[in-house]
Order: sequence, then C-alpha cells, then structure tokens
Amino acid sequence: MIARPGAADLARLDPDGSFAARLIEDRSELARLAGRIDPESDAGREALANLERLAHRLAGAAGTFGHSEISEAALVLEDKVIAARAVDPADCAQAGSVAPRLADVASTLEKLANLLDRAGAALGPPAKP
Amino acid sequence: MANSIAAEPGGNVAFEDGAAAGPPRILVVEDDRDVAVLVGRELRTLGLTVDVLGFAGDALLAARGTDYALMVIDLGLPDRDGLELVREMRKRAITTPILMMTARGKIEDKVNGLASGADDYLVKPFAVPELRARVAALLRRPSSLKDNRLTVANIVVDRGALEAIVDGVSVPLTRKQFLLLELLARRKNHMTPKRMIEEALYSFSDEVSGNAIEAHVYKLRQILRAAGAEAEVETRRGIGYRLVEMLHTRQ
Repeated sequence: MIARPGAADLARLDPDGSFAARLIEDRSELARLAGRIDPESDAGREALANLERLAHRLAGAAGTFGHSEISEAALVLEDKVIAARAVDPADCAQAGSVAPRLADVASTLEKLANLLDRAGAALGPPAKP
Repeated sequence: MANSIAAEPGGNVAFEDGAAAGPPRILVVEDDRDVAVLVGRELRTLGLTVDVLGFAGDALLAARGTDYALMVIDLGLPDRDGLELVREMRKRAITTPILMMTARGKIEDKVNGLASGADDYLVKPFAVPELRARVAALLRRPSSLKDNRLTVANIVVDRGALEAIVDGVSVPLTRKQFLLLELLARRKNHMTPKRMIEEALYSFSDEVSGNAIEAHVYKLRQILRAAGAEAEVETRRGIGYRLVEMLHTRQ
C-alpha cells in the first residue's frame, strides 16, 4: 500500500476532491475534540467517545483513499482512546493509569494531526466540481 | 440468480445467460459518506445497479422489499451494529449474500462476522480492485439456498427439505398444507385461483369435497398466525387466495 496517493490515484478515487475536503474538516474536528478531553466530566467523556468514532472512521476511509499513513495513525489513536475510555477515574485502583493513557492519546493525536496537515498542504484546496 | 458475473482485468464484468434480466442490484450499507460514494461508483462501473443507505433500519426495510443480488454492509453503523443487522436479516430468512466491510481486522472480528451470517469479509482500508473482485466472486457463486427456498416476509419455504420455517423456527405442516404454502409463496402477492390450488394439491383421480380448499387455507392461516408469520393468506371471494406481507396488507 502506498503511503500517500499519487495524482492518478486521486483522480480515480477522489475525482471531485470531496475526500480531501473531508480531511481538512476532520483535522479541525480533531483539534476541537482534543481541547475537550476530560475523563472526569460528562462533556469530556463524550469528547473521548466522539474522538474514538472519528478515529475509527478515518482509519477505514483514509486508507481506502490511499492515505495509508493517516489510516494507520488513526487506527493507533482509536486503540489509545479505547484504552483511555476503559479506565474508570472514580476507581482508586485505576486512578494511576488515567494520566499515562491520556498522554498516549495526546501524543498519538498530535502525530495524526501532523499527518493531516501535511496531507492538506500537499492536496491543496479541493478541486472545483 | 440468472446472471453470472465476472470481473475482467479491465474492471468490467461479463454477464452470461442474463440477457433478459436487468443488471444485478446491490445494496451498500455504509454511513461514511466518502466510502459510500466510492463503493457505489466502483460497483456501478461494473454495470451493477447500486442502492446506498446509511442506516441499519433502512437497510432492513430495503432488504425485505427488494430482491438484491448482494449486500455490502459496514460493521459500524450509527443506529445499530452491522453484526446485529446481519443476524436480524438471516433470522428473517433474507438469504442474499453479504459482504461485510469493516476496519476491525482481527481474526476474531472476521470469525464473528462470518458466524453472524456474512458470506465474506473485507477489511478497511481496502484496495478498490479487491472490493471489485470479492463482489464479482460472490455474484458468481451459485446460490443454492436461494434456489431451494422461497421467502415471504419471515416465512421460508424450503423446497429441498420440505420444511416451512417461520421466524427461524420450523413449523410442522401436513403435506397438503406444505404444498399450499409453497404454491402461495411461489406466487407471492399474486392471486392464485382455487382451481390452481386444487390441481397442485390433488391428483386427477382424487375426489375433492366442496370446501376442501377453504378448509386447508383456514388451517394454514391459523398455523401461520400462531407461529408469528409476518405474511398472511388473503381471500378474494370468487377470485382466489394470495400470500401477502403484513406491510402490504396494512397499506
């Protein structure tokens, strides 16, 4: 699998540039969710759940459109978020593992965001229909 | 399925002995807009008719009312898990081949998908040629189940096993009741004249009492109702009988 799609792949897989535009939207959504993660509040837990869904969808879709690096990073992020969500902050026995798992999420998220930035810069604005 | 289909190197498909029939109709159930568009576009280039839906509930309704040649179903749907959807379809005797599509690629995920009733499994991300090859392979498969079974709502008439199944449970029928159900299922939604039923149930030498057919229909109707069938035998005085899905009778 190629790391990033070439021009011929893009012309075939994403002829109207809608997936390229979606990557830019997903990048914004990642940034928005990253600022809300907090396993101790309802809103923060919801942000984690939304992040898991976003990562899952991105993992499946990005690779199919030829962005295998983004797909792999999204898959890692999904796993990290699942691990973070599995911890109950109210459980004293698990309390120590909350911070390291959130740190894992943050570093993976940053890596994915960088890849999305690079892809966005490489693809440029979406083609006009 | 009358058509035979094969993916050719150039990406096209070849139809065999399907001149009179339309192109195979495929249902794609995928909530990711971009993936759904891509899959739909690729399958249409194979000459297939493609319906795309994003919700499990809509897919179940569509599958019950349309004779699809194949369904491509994503595992992660917004209203219901894809595995549950496939199980529900199989429980409702929808025997259409299913290609399950998901980002979950572990061995146990694949095993669960196939155990739930899917016929094949495609892990996302996938390469488009692989999608096309798997779809073509599933459409080429002889559908022995479909050939031997008639399905009306949640009723399956298995002509090979001479067995009637309602909502996944075998329903004991006499030979004549089975023949009657089989005839009505074969002609589902169409009126079947009393004379045609007599010919199917009795030989020329049999003496048929005046109300024998009415009695068989009455008994079959009772059995189907008791078993929770979602189709019923409708009577049109002076015309005949027909087996219709409840959904149609309410409309």
